[in-house]
Amino acid sequence: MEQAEGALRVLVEKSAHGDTESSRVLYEQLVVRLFPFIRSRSKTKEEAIDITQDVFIDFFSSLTRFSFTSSAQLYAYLFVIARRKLARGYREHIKKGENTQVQYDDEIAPHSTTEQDYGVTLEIEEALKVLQEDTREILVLHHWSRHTFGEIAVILGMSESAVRVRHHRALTQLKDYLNKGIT
Amino acid sequence: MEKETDIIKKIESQTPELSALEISLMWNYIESHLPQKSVLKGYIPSPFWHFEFRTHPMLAGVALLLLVGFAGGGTAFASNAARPGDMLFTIDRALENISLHFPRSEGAQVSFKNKLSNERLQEFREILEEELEGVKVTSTTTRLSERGQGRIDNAVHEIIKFLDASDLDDTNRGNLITEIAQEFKRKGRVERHDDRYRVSDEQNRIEVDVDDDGDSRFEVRRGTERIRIEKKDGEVRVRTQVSDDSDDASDKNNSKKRNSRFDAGDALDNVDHSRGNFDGDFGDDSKDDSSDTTQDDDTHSENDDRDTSKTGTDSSSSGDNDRDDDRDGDSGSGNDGSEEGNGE
Repeated sequence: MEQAEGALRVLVEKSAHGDTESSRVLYEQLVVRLFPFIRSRSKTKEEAIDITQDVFIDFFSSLTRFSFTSSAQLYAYLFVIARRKLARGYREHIKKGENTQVQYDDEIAPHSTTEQDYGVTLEIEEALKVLQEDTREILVLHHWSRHTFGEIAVILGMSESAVRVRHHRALTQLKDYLNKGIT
Repeated sequence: MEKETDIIKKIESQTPELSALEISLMWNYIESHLPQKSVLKGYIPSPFWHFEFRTHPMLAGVALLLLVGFAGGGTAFASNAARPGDMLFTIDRALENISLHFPRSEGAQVSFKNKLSNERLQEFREILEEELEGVKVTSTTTRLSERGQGRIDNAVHEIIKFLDASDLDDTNRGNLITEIAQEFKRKGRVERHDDRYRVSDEQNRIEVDVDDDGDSRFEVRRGTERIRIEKKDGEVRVRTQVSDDSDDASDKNNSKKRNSRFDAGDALDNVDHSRGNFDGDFGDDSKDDSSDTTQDDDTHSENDDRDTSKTGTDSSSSGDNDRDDDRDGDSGSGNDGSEEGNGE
């Protein structure tokens, strides 16, 4: 664990100094965590890719002002940028008057035209809609982005015990919802 | 009834993913849009660094002095590997010249000059091999590029200059070297025969023999006069053969010195003044090369026997001398004779 932290710190420092190779390695480690979160809040996969790219451009551009203390803090920093990007995109869509079927920042995106494009089955999608925003986010961050409860606590700004409790409640809610559907 | 574990599995199986290609393409886009300089400007200071130099400014001065010292030592170290034509070679030679004047015992001084002779020889060998690498070599003359010729000429000059500067109280030898250094023209041609290289011009000939064992021989000839730096079995020897144009009685001492062999590894009092001829390694230059090398073959082993009895230092190399001369015999015929006969 400490080795992973140390390795991540080195990558961040080298990236901040302009080491392109280190930047790429850092990007590859972070994109697999960030993309699922952004995808859960995007209309289409292409849109999620665009937003993810913009997030990383802002992330690496601002890395010189970032002081690494822990991996959780790094993830939190990245997700703050992602939320801002998502919120900005939502406001831009509102200004354009587009009939967005995607709700940014507060609600999960509705299903797209095809399940294959969205990547998530209707069943799960509908079930996640039932949950509150913070509990939904905990599920996404834990099961899709593969963050630990401790990291999620830092990302969301709450205690780890609170994260665990809400996670458990979320699973219970999903179980009840899905079982109601079965039954 | 679905269990929690089943729900977790179902959720995780639906994780949105990116393919490797997508990840790579995304990076290309990101990288192309990164503000390069703004990233390079960034600096994450170490709290230790700031703490020490802000609270202890004296340490900054000490660090600066250490840095200058290491840089100077590093330059000296790096310059030691420099060769003629390299940027640091001037520094290397300056340091060597300073070192030559350090007070040393006679034996230590001889050993030190022996070491420098070896270095000059090795430098020349390396430059020659570099310039000939990849060049199609034949038994006839091989013309190098102007740059290559320049490098070899520089290396030859450096060797001659070194011999001139590190004069070992051999007056005739010193005079010969000085004259050759002044006369050597910078448009020599390079020939290669087996493992021997020859750089020659209208008046002088310089030969370098290299073999796989690392032994080398560097020889400068002008007419019947020669200087040879020879490295065999780790021992470096400098030999000189000069012509004696004076019959004046006052030059009797010079005639003795003419016939003496000088070994860089030997003390001066080991020189045998009683020998009538020179060591015979160089043979009779009035004939062409083929006979010249034959002369070497005929006389060398005989002289080596004498050498062995006198100093004992040649015994280990006598076999190598024969090997060298065999090689000379193999490669010193034909074109060499026709070319060199005209030159000398």
